[in-house]
Amino acid sequence: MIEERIQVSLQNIEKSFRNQKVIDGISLDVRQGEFLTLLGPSGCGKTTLLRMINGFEKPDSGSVLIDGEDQVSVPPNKRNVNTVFQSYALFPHLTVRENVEFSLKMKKVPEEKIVEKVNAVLEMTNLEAFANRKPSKLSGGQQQRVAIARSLVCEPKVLLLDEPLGALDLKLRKQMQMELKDMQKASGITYIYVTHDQEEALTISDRIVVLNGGHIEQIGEGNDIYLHPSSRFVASFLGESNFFSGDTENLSDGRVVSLRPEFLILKKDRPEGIAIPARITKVTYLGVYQRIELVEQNGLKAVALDSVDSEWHVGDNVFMTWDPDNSQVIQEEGDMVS
Amino acid sequence: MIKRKHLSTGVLTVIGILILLFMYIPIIVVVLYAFNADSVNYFPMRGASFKWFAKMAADDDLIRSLEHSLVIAGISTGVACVLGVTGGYGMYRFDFPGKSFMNKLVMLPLILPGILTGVALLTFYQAVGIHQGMMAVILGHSTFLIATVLPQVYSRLQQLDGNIIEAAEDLGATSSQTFFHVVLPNIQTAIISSALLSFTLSMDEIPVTYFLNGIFSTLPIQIWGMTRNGITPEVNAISSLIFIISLAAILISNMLSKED
Repeated sequence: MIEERIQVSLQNIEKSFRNQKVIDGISLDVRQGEFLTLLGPSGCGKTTLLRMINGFEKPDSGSVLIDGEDQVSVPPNKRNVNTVFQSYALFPHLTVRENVEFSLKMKKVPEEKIVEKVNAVLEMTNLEAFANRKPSKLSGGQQQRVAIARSLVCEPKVLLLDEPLGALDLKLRKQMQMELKDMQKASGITYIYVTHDQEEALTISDRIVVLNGGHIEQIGEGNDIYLHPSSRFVASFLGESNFFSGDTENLSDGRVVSLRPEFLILKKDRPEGIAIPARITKVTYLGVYQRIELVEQNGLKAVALDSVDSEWHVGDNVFMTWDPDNSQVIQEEGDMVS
Repeated sequence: MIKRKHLSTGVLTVIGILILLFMYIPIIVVVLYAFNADSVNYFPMRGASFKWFAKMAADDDLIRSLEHSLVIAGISTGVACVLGVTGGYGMYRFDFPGKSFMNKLVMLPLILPGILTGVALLTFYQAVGIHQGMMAVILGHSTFLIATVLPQVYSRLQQLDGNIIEAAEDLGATSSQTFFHVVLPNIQTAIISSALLSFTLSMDEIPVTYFLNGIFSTLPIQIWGMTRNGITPEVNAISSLIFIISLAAILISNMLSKED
């Protein structure tokens, strides 16, 4: 259950590496029990932000608060936060069991308690059969689970995951996405997840934070961001988008409008309202629907998705239209923020 | 075309074998004649005997010099390992001014001729009031043995997934817990392998020891003195022993470093 209580709060974080600004004034509140994803292209600062939360990076200015407490003087090994690293970082000289019990051994938890907790976590992650193997003898997916198990046994308040599924093949990745989602719901732990894969973000997150060039572009539920992107960047990064500028009637004065391909309607005859002439340049059959690429008279390209029943051919001259409710006016860079 | 390739491979093989023979035949001869029944080196050998090994064991001066060598090698290797491991770890984890310079500086004792190192150390020790003797030799050996340990440990550390150190801290380990439970087990083979190599180098060392030892003898220096009067079969016996032990140590050391 996602409460309104704020678990992690980042306030006005700034960070530079060698005179290169990596985080440019980011503030973010993470709610307790939510699955929050930091989404963005490489270099947008998402991993750096994660490392501010687990303590391996310090902000140049700004504060990191966990449960309301400023973490400025709390080293990583004392924070109630655990991390699943992108490379898993399993201890190669220890078995699965020994890897998982590592944190409990360091904290000098009594032996019987260790066995009890480790067994519970191994069961939860389906690793009991591999308890005595060393990491080098495990598959990628199994190693991934050990990395998660190792962190979960600490019962952290917040679990950080840094692109944990990147090294897995597509099928396994999709399976693990579901498993992670279920695990998170069952445990109620706040998950902060980093990825560059927008489809993954849409699948698993409660909320998505879209990052670009060290600042936040948009925050919201996946559904919301997808249908109402606030900028050209978000519209392009999350799925595909058409961009139309308002020098045709019914569009707002010179501002740019974003429209998802599935909402672009093609008509043989000029319709009422919005009607932009275009020529079909490519038709791709995708099984569930067909993807149609078009070009306007001024050379701008567009993409539409239509049912496979419609008959479209390359070279057809058509009119593009849509329901204005399905389009979104977006901020262009340089626009004044209204 | 194929014929030429076979020819050059063949020529290379022959040259390779000749080089190995050139290097090892003298040693094999020494080992063989350690078992010579005569005290003169006739060819071929006219009888086998263990008496030179017995004579060697009864030679008090020789045994005492062996003890000195063992103590020096043991302590120096220990010191070099402690300093080499901490130094290597420090270089791995931290960036500091002069780090790349230090990286090259550390290798110096291996590059410089032993005589230079010996004279330099002697001059320095005399200047700071360290007299020739056991302590000076141990200090001297420890200094150049670091050059054997540190680079090997540093290189092994760089092969590790650096994230395991962060992972350990993320899971609640302190710095020392991280070092003893995570780092050390993963550089074990590098430490043992460089320790074996260090021990061997120390046992065989002459120039630095010669300048720093003063009045006592180490094994190689004692043998050297013995050869001044001609190669007695006793020298063959002790040399064979050293050869076999050194060979064993280096083979194990090599095996361990290949394991990684």
